[in-house]
Amino acid sequence: MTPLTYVKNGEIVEVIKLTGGKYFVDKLTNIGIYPGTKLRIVSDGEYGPMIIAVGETRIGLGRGMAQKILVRLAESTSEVKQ
Amino acid sequence: MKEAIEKTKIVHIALAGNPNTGKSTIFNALTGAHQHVGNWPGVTVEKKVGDFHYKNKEFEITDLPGTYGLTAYSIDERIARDFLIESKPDVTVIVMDSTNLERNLYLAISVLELGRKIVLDLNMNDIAEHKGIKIDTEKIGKILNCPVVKTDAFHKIGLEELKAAILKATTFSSSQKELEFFVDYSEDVEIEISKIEKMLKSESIYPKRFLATRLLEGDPEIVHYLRQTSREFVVEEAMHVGRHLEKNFGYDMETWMIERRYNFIRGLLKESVKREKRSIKLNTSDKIDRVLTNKFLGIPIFLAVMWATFEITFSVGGWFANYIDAFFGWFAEVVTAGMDVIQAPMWLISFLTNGLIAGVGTVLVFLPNIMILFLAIAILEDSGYMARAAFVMDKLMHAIGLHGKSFIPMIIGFGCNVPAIMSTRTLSSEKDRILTILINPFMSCSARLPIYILFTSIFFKSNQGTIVFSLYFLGIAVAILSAKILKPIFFKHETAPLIMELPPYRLPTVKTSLIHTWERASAFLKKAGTVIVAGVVLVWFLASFPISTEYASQQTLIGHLGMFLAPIFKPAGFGFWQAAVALFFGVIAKETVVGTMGTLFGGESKLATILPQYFAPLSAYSFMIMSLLYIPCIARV
Repeated sequence: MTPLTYVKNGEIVEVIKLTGGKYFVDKLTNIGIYPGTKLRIVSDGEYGPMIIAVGETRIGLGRGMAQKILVRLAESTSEVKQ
Repeated sequence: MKEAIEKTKIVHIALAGNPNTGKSTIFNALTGAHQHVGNWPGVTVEKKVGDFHYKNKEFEITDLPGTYGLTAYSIDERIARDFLIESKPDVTVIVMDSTNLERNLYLAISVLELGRKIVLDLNMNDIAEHKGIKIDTEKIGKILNCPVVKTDAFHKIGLEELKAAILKATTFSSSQKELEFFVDYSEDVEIEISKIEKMLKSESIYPKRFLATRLLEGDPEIVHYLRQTSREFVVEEAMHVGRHLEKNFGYDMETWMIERRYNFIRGLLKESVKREKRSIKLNTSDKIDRVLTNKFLGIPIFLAVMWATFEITFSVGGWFANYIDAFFGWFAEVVTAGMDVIQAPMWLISFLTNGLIAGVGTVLVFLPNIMILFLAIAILEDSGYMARAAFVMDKLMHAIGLHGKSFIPMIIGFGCNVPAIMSTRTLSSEKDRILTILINPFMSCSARLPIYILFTSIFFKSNQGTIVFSLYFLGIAVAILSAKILKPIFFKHETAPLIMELPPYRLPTVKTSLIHTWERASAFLKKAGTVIVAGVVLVWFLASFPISTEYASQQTLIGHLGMFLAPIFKPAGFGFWQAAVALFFGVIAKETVVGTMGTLFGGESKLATILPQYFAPLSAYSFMIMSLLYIPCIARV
């Protein structure tokens, strides 16, 4: 289990846990990120904000937020969940 | 909902949906020209209402703000929720992005839990089909007990079916008090839900189940509502139960409830959606993103784009401006000649030519430039680049204590600060919102553009775009500086984290870009027609009296006013009375600055020859800076 900030371009991960306050959890789940969601990293941003793909949607995410999303590497062959 | 139907025969519809689902396209396609725009009570959030007829029935449709859910965390979501609860629309149409049903259905579930009748509108169906997503609408409709239709609003496909579905939805389960729909929150929670439901006793506003579930999640608005209706004990009980359940589950109630809802949605989609397996590869949009948001290239690209925008604005706009200028010169001559023929009094001729035509004409000369700037901004917005700009600027914005999203209102501020301030509502933190509003006036709005264009076209002919770009840049710098200063004084608070949807890049269509351009340009024209005319008339009046004096000379009322104010501007290098007067009237609206000058010096065409007598390039630049930074216009205040 690693924070999303450590994931590199093109990798696909599964969200395990959202470790933040109410506002944080609510914001992310409303936009479609919650435990079980598969994310693909479009741009890891290195030191800046990241871009991730949730299905067909692209979401820009500040590093502070990404830090609080714990993920696990999913098999790179599996398809991104819709 | 029952009273609403009996009260009138009009069917009330609410239009809800996530942002970027084509909701307003649906709204426009349904209502056509039959719509009016206002504000939601108490907030500056635009409220659009329209109507249409179908099968001899009248439908009134209210466009709710684009939201992801119905929580109490942002203004938009609160508005949507309050409307659904208080106004009880007969049917709520939920516009969904067919390529992203999972997230879009979350909102639909929330609305269903509120006990509203819904129609699911699977919009952007063409894109979904193109991507190999096959959706069984009948199955979804059966499970959620609501009509489901596919539309492609952009190409006007499926609209008749949508209307039919709305009509059909009005007949759905109207006899039942609450709709028979629920997500299973697991056995343990369901027991508590029904206990809380019983404790609530009579309840007329919300469905009891909705109250019970939201209460367990700790929704602050619901807690507040129950306390107000003296049911504190229910809140206490729910909190107690919630803590107990949390201990059992190992994580918090809110996450649990949300997960159950998503679980339900996933199950629903498994049964109703088929996806062709495709290999995952970067699509074009992603490739573009890697370049445009690159940490080295991102900001330079953004600056280059903005600079190009201004270059185009001036080179192309200037070409048109000459023709408009010539037209007004000719028009003033024609009017003078015409008035001479009917022997109109001198003061009337002076009023029309020196006052109205010279003043308004001076401003309208800049319409092409403004239109082109608006068009450029519309194209940047519609293509999806604007969202990236905010994203790219996030780091920089963070440095001044704001986040990337604050950047969008600042860019819109280039158009006009008024809509820019309205757009700050997308910021979820109240403090970010206030700070963004405070620094917004430093953004060079379109009203200041005529001043820049006028002066640069006279004094900085060879590098007009660059000079204006520098002014815009200066405005941004001052805004950043003031944010830096204001932030620690007023708000000791960390900034809200950045999370924003990046719409896919697409080629903006001519039609939508023109519509967006026109929306803003017409606002400018409206102002030109009202505030500016009033200002110009006032200036003319002051410049003509006492009656025996020469028009706009130093002996007139305005001359005295200017003489009085001029010393203030002396240090800035333009201590003569005409400039002082122009800036003075600019307080009403920046547009009048140029209008005033036009009036005082006898028309736009003469400014080019007269102004160099008064200004050196340096003092001209300082005049422009002064227009940029001094008091904002009244409309904004």
